[in-house]
Amino acid sequence: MDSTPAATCTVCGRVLATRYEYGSRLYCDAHLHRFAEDIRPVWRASVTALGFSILIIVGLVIVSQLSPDASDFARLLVSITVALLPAGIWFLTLFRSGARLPSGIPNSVIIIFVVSALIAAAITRPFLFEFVNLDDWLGRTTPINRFVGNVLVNGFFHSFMLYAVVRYATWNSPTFERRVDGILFALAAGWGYLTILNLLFVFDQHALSFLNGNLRLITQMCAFIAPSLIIGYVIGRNKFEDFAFYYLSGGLVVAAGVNGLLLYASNELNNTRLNLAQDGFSPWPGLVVSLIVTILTYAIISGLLRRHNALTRARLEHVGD
Amino acid sequence: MTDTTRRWRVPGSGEAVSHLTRNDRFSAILVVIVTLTAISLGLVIRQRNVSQVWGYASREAGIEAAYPAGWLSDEEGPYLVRLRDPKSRPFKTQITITIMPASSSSSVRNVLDALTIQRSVDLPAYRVLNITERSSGGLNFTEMDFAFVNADPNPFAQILPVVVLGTDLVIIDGDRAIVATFMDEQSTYPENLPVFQRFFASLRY
Repeated sequence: MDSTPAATCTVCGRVLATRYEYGSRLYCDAHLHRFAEDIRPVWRASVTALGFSILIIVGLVIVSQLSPDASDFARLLVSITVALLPAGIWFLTLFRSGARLPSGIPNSVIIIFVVSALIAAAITRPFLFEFVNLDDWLGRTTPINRFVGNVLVNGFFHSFMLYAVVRYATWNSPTFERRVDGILFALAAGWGYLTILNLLFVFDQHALSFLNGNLRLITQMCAFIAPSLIIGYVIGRNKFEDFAFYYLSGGLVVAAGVNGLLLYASNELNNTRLNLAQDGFSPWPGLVVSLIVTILTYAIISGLLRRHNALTRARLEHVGD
Repeated sequence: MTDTTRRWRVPGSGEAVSHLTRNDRFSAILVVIVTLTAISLGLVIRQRNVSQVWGYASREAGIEAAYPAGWLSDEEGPYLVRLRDPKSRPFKTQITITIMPASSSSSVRNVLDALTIQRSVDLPAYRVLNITERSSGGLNFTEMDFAFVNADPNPFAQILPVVVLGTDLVIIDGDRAIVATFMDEQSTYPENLPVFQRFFASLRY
């Protein structure tokens, strides 16, 4: 009797009669040709959500000019809408566009969203804001310490949480069958995570000012979406190819750096110099930098992933010939 | 390189093997180690940094704040506390907290007027420069910027008078007004203002 262990497909886990190898991973015939496919709705949903966020910014500017003395209840409603709308638009566009795909969008995206939202509320907030009391320290310390604290504590903690949700909830799931699924799941995790943090911030403050307060929500959105893209990219690539052992941790370091940098920039750049002529705060510098970094990250990640997918498809076709 | 595609037959079917490689297992562990190391390092820096400020607490007034370590505190005056940087020259950079009564009918303006009248008598060339309503972190307060000339009363001291800039931040807390005041020489005022902002952010009452 042959006792050699049978190889299984990296994606579906089926025992392989005929096995194919790519990047030191084994595949069945179907998944070998599927993992380099793209899911256009992911990119479309992201661009739409970003476009809507810019529209929200324009809307906030107009509303703040038209009714600067709105009631607390009205401001609370606006803030809740600003916190929820980008994620809602992302999901709506994703599932509407994804409905045309033969395989559709996996429902596990919603589970990832909910799980990461729960993690943000149940772990992140109590740990960072109550146990470590990070904001209190960052508010009192020097700019250099603020940067270091944002990267080392905020950046690594948030990035690890997003990484852990995607890595441990989806890595072995058969629904994770394409590289771009890494980005899909990481973005779902990012949206859930940032939406609940923003919502809790709104409830903490009772009512945010139309412009300064709500623009902070958009800035925070950028600070979590950009690292989500990076985490999704490295997990999406590593799932289908065997990389060096430091590949994932390298990706996490980059994601933590971007997250920390954006959280730092969103506060630090907004504190314009307080002097006798200025009131010391402007929401715009942090917002503009956050939007630019997020758009750049999106362009780089989508470009890299599409390039890798195109190369993989070309190699597979070449071998097939 | 890993980008190769091969095909072969499995000799037979048997026990399924995990597709996690040694690199995958190492990388899963390394991610946790890197994260824990980074967060621990950040917390150590925080802990060291927290000890660079000293705490001020007045049980009588129910006020707490953190001020830079090494500054001298003084409670013997018409204020709750005055905190001064002993190293600054010629004018000692300082933060004071003053508690003033504020009835329901009095406004912040009354408090500021009282301060202005008192300082016009005590401080040479005292001028109010600016009064603005501000809000930060959900807290509404009033800011008054002012300037005066600080001159050593000793006629034999060969020191030029210096222009001092100051900022009052006034918070109405029930039947009292809490006035946090920062004063510094004109040239170092912008540089030291963040110290006052951090002090104000740490104020608990």
